[in-house]
Amino acid sequence: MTTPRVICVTREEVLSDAGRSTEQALVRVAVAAAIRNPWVGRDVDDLTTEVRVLAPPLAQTMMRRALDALGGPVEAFGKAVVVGLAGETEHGDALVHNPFFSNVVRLGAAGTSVIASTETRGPAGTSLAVPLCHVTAASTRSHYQGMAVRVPDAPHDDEILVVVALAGGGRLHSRIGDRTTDPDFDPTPWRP
Amino acid sequence: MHLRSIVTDVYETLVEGGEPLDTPLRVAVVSAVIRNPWAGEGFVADLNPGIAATAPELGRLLAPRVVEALGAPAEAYGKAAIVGLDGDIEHGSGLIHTLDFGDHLRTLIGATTLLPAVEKRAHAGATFDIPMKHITDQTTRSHHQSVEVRLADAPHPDEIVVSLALSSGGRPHARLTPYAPRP
Repeated sequence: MTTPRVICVTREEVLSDAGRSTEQALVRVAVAAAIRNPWVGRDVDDLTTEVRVLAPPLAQTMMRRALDALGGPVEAFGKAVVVGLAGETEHGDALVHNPFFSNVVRLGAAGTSVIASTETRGPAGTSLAVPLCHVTAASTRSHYQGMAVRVPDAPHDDEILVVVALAGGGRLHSRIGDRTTDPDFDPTPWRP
Repeated sequence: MHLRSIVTDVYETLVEGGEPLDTPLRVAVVSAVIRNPWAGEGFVADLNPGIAATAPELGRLLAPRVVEALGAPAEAYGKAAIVGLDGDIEHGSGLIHTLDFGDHLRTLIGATTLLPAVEKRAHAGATFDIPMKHITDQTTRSHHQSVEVRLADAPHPDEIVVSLALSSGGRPHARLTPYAPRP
């Protein structure tokens, strides 16, 4: 594996919101790794070959730190990439949208869902809200949430910042029901 | 003390200037988001009762957490107080500039020097840099370093963010001439 330049682990423990405390704190973690963009400065059509080698150890390194920081079962997960300005967003997509990365994340999280994601290109210090969804039932409404992630000095222009985020639960005071509790609604009159 | 959240950031630097480090540098920051103890009280002349009620508890909360997050012997340290827009900078300074706050960390890591600090008033999502210096000799030039922190939704106007930071070593590939007083 290309050694990451820096790995940042952020752990957020939310004990109260809007003045209301909770018995069970919500814990969310994000691991961000700044690696050199393996394709930067080259005109490459096949982005899949290197991924098979690069992605599994990267995902393993990140997930080990994420699970250790979370310290409990994973209920929601998400991923993100920020590609430095000298690369293509496609380079970041190539790194995380493949079985060699995602299946390692799913294995660590005991998940089966599609992993919520966001991809962008930007300068060092780009702020992200990494989207998360439930690990086995992606449409579980209480578990839609975003985790704020920012690494001040990454990505450099020739780097990719790769992020995995995990949550130990849903939003702190989630109370918007679910598909099973929604009243019947016919959208036909509102056809766009 | 009303605590809303605790945020821990740990940075592992493995490569600097393209050269791998023999031992990765670890920097840990733990930040507590609390309600400003003096929120809504107007100008309070005597801050001591509020400091006595809050600072020791904050020190007890943050010190063991930052030591655990670092996961390595600490060599440099720093602290921060970022006051939400409705508070006085003095409120944040009051909470961190007392031995009742800092000595919890000093005792855990065997530190003896002044804890370098940043104090400012800012909006939620403001960035702040925590200065760090060596825990027993503040002239150790290799250990002068900073870590940047940002909490996306804190401090609210009636809150204060209080942080402690530790580093496992000096700057990556530090190679400056050591400090020596001029003859």
